[in-house]
Amino acid sequence: MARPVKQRKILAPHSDIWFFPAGNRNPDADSLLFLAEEFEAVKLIDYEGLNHSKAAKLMKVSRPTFTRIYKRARIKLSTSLVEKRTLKLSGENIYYGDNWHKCQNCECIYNVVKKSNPEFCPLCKSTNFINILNID
Amino acid sequence: MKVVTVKEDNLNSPIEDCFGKTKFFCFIKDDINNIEFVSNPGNDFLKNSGKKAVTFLHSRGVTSVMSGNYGMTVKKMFDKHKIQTIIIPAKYKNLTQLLKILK
Repeated sequence: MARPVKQRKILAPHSDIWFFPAGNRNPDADSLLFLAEEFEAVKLIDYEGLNHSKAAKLMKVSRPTFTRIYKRARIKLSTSLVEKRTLKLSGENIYYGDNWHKCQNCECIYNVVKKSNPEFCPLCKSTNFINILNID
Repeated sequence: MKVVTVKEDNLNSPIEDCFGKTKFFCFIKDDINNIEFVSNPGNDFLKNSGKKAVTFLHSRGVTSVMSGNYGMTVKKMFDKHKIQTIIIPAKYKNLTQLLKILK
């Protein structure tokens, strides 16, 4: 039996989960699943300008694994651009490097500075929030 | 004191999604009626604009920052200075909409 896939470390959660191309007539039908690890790989390499070994260390995976994730991400991005397909972000098999919470009322995502649970959301003061998993 | 990243220095301004590249900061003092717009000192720099912005906010005694997205370096600096980071969902298009839910 193959070894289960190791969880990838993500710096911060993402607020948007869909990217729609304007020219697509039926955006829901042929969407591409863009994994959060792939989004993070593109962000670290192309947006932040890091090299592969530094980015791999941040995501707590080996450099060859990171290269494979990045290659997969680039293929999905180019497919989406050329074929005008929707990208749907998926947050499976990941964990966050900080103590993040999501308010169920205003939908904002926030971290907790002091290592204690917050009593309310910093935006709307609602007590209806969930803790986004952090196993670091 | 809270800070929101905005594109213009008025209440109808759209919210800036990228922290380091924001043109203005909206400082919210004790309540939502007491606000001040200040231009981002890091905006003129092509590199390290986020770092300069964080240093500026830390010197002004900011406790939490609201923006759409944060870079890796900026996030690390916020953690170091113990400044809370809040990711604003895309449904809030401008500052007025955000101030309505802010209590």
